[in-house]
Amino acid sequence: MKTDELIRAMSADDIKEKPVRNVLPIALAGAAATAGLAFYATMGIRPDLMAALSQFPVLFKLTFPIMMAVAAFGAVVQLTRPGARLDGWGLALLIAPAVVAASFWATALGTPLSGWASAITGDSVGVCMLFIPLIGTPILFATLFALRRGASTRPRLTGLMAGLLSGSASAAVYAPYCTDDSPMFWGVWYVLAIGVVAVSGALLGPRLLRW
Amino acid sequence: MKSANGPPLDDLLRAANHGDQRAYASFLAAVAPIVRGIARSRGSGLGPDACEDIVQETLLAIHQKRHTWRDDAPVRPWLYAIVRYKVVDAFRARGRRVHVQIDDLADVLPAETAVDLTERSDAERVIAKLDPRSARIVRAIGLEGASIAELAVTLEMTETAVRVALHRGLKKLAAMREGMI
Repeated sequence: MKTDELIRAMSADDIKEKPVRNVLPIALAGAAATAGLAFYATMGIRPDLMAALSQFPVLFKLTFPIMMAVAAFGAVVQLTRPGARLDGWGLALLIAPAVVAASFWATALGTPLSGWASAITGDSVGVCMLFIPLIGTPILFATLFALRRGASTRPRLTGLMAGLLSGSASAAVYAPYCTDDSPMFWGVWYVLAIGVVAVSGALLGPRLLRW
Repeated sequence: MKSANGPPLDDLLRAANHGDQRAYASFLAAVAPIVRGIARSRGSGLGPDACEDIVQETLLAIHQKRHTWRDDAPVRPWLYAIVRYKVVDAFRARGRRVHVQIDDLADVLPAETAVDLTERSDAERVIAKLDPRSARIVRAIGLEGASIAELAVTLEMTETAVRVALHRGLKKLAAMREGMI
């Protein structure tokens, strides 16, 4: 087939794919809702959730993953557009880490050094490190498959950002269950658990986002 | 910025995205020489046939991903990023490493004359693997210039079904080339 002939066939094809920014929210919400329902059906929400919401550290614990997810969403959509810049999303990515770091140090500096170890360890490291990556796995796959509609020219970075998005969404789903409210706990373990999902995304990106 | 002569690429693709098929054909026809120029400048030892295959592969990729361009952004950064990614990828698939800088793309001498890949192209080998109906539709439109409406009558299909079959056929074409070389 000559190139001109191929061009003629292509220009007759007027069906356009849906853009990533329309498809990704559906995939993300679907996977997060399914995984969240399964999790809460077996584990249950913490009984004192309403009371806990009045405490600042709990509020931050519940909202920093959402802030992180919003920024990662914006960044990952840009990354699926060839030649596009991150624009403000690069800076937006720094907001949630700043909130976490500030919460961690504000608490740590008010805690005697001898109390640091128990504050960081909390009661539920194992559960947290198990369930955030576990809930994050279906979300990550749903995200990556939605991103295949895009055209990432940097699949590893895009995968990393997809993992950051999925891990943060997972942490947001998990947080209302968790009773470890000290920023010295979630400032370490949530961040690590989200990091595990982010690195998984970076490893999967080059395989799943080829086009 | 202008294409060689004629309306700017931005206007062509914008019109194309609003359903203007002739503008879309002009856009692809204006992009082909740019891709050909860069493929030939990098692949002198590869032969003109393989270079033309790379041109077709890249055009198919642009076609599959045209929805990732935002109407309000300049088209060239988008276009060059795709061309760079696909040309490097196509050479890698053929066992070669090439470097393409975005600046090279802006400076490349467009190569207008296409090689006639009638029988021996990768596209031809891949079309042969499509389901017979899609293959027939892609060939009829590409080679004979048939219209969707004409094909709907000849093949006793609805126009929508023909459009979908063409769309799927081209999508498969792009996907299979990715895997076969």
